[in-house]
Amino acid sequence: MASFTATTTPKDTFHEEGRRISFLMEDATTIYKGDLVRINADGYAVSREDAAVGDMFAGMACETVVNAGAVGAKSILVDTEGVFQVFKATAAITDIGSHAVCSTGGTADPQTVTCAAAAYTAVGIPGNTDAVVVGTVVGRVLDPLTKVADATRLWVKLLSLQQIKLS
Amino acid sequence: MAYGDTHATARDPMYRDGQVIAFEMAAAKIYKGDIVRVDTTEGYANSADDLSAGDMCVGVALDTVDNSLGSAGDKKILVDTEGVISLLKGTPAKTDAGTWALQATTNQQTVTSGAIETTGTVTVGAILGIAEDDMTATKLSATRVAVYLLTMRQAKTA
Repeated sequence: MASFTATTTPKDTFHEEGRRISFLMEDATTIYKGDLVRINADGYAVSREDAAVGDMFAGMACETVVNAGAVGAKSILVDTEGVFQVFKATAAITDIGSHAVCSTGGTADPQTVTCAAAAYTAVGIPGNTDAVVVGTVVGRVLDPLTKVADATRLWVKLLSLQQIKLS
Repeated sequence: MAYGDTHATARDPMYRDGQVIAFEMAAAKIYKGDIVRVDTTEGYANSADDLSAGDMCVGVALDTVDNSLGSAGDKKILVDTEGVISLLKGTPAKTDAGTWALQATTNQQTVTSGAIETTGTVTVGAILGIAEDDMTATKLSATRVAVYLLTMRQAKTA
């Protein structure tokens, strides 16, 4: 059986908190504050190109950046943790506990999610491997005075950087 | 083809930290320390009803709230969704470390230990080891394990 080569020296492991991460952007791309940002198979941040195999959800854009230049010419700050309000058509109480997934593109909107059952996977990460999982729906958006639920918005706890779209 | 331009503008996404989340409750009583689940067929937090398909662990209750005389959604429960928490487990063992903590079927504050491939259960988190207890000679708890919460990732499938 193979074994590790023995380490003989200590090493400084550099650390960042990771709550807000800067990603290099795809070329000819605009990402708006509030967009759901994905890292595509080329390794660059996008939000408005169709969801494709290899995409991984990175988080919520916390600024607007226009990259009219080449790939990686600009970077975008992305919030990777926390609970955010996102748009969803016909938000309902039964959405709570479902996974929020990126819409696939076409005429869809990059600040809007759909909901899918939170399928089991053997390794315990979010299911729905054919989709880009944004997070888990944790609540309805209630009007503070009337307690009436907003019909088009939900609270979603982000599950960023955990799963790649497989198909 | 690219996405549509319905929201081709910047917006301020309303934000919360997410460590502690308030969930709308079913018509039930949830005790502090209960492992809280959301039944996705209903969307409300509960802890005492039998495990069923669609259940997802959302965390551990931070307080006791009684909504048993109300209607679903009348009250909310604060739930701790992240971190390492000491949870009850029958006969904790060193070999529990590295296994899944699964919601027990008989008690809402207790976990069992499961293999990583276990299906049809509600996963609470990963067991880090036997919980510490300074009151014992071994400094290890006889009733609790330390669990790294992995909430809101998977729902019970069967």
